[in-house]
Amino acid sequence: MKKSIEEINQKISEGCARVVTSDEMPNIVKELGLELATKEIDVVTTGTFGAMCSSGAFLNFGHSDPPIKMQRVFLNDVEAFTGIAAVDAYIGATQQARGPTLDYGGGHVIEDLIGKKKIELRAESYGTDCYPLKSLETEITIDDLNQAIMVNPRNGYQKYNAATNSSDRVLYTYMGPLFPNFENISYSGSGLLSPLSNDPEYRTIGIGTRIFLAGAKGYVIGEGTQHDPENGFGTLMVRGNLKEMNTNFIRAAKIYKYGISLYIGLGIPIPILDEEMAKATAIEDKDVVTNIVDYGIQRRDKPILRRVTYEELKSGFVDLNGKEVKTFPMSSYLKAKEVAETLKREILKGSFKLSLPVESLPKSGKIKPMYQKKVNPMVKDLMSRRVVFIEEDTSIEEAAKVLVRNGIDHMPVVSEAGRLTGIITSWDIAKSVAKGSFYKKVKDAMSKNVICIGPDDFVDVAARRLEQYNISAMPVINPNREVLGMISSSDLSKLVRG
Amino acid sequence: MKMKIQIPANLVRKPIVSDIVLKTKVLINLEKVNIETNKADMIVDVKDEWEDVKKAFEERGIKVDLLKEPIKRRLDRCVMCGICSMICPVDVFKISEDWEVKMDSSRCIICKNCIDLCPTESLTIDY
Repeated sequence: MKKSIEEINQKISEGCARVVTSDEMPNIVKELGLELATKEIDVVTTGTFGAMCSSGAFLNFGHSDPPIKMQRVFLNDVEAFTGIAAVDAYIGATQQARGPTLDYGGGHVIEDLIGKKKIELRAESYGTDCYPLKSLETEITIDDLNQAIMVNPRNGYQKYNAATNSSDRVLYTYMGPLFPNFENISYSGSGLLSPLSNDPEYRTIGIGTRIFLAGAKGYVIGEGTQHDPENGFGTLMVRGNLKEMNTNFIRAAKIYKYGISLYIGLGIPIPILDEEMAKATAIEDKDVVTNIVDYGIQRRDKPILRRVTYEELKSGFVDLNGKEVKTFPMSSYLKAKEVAETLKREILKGSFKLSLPVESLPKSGKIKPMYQKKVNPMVKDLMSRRVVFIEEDTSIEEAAKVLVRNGIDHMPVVSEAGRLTGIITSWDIAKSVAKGSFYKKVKDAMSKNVICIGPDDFVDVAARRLEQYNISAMPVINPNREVLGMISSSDLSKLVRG
Repeated sequence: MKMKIQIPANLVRKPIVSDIVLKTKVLINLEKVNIETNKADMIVDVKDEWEDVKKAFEERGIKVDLLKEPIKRRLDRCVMCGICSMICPVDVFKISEDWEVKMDSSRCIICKNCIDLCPTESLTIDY
């Protein structure tokens, strides 16, 4: 049983095509079998609604009088990328408004444009004979623009790694707040509704495939950046007319202590050309497998803790090292379903025709890491290895003498087994002296909650941690909590001195 | 009924809640208490006869706000992701079977943890 795209489009024109959403397909195939399902079903619609940072729009403002060659462009104080023709600019979703807050950014500008709100436009230039104007201030809406075209370099991830956190601190990431000691897991993606997961061989999704992009008709224009087909993490580059989009399918996102992003509703119709496509679109959440990775390791290659299915992630709990860990979604399944349903309705109405790719997406290739000429130094390269320890039961007086004798301000406190139990600083001792004889021993005056770092962490992570906790030094420990050294802000300043 | 109680400086050191419980014989559940030297704020929950408790606080010169809908959600902005359901300590938000994020405002104790974490800025607390 084979159907051509022309036959399917003919049925759509005649209003007799059978269209279902991809979450309905597993049961249909189970009930009818592949052969009959292929005959019965013409199109399966998919959908996803997630925060897609790699998004933005090309805008053409038209020429001012006198003309200006816009060198720098600000939309509601959010800088757009220029460096192309005089009045073209690209507004990126994650660009933040100037100023200290993380409250407004490119995602908001895009949402406000689609919502037909007024946007303050400012531009600066150096002036040329053909473009004499040097600065410009005006107010525009999307209707004033010649073109407003969304071009997203990377959307529609086939699936996405789920995130958890092994460290002892809360991490605020683009995957949401990750609580310490593996207390939660966040995930993104719509599982069985995910467009690329329903066509993993890229037979119908490729360059030229017509798609639903935030309420408008759009197109796949190629593989997305970081397209990683050999690992099952394919991505799409897409375009769509911003002027036809609908704010119901787009929403600016402010991710706490991370920054701005943009929720986008993207749906792709999949023609059931043969049994192979019926089989592909019958996938279930249990067939879509991703990894749980540890964001507690602040490195590029984060350890994979286990493989996990979207069925497990969507159940609300996942077993991790024998512990039931709560999961939470960053993307919206309800909105993904709304995308697939809306696309289904448009096809049934006859207002959305399918197209086959004019060129396939690459099926081979893997994502490469960055080539770095210089290796970033690690904590072990800069830490002081000569560490003066003290034990818990030592008197405060003795501790003060040790600090003075060694000319230091911080001392890790260790147990008899040599494990870190606290830290005592000259300030802790001063405090205990000020309070009289209240504290007699080191264990009474020390801080028990010690901020630490590992030897294989980058010094950049160490510098960020010292700054975050407003401290000047911290112990470097191994997983057994044995102290290997100390790293201080003065150790880090060696980098600047060279 | 949840209420926000604002105790002025001159009454901070008085055993007001105990006094009201003894006099009204109504149980008061303290959900959030913040006592400073010159003022105290409390969120309390009273199941039955909350009018009596409200009156008793007010007779002592204490300001009482009824928290009928302490947290509000803009449904035109909410995308039903469900991050709020993970952060809320008292289960105001629940993801339903069909992936709708349901909100039971009456459970809210105004910790405000969800406010900053909502990516689409859909949640507001006026108190």
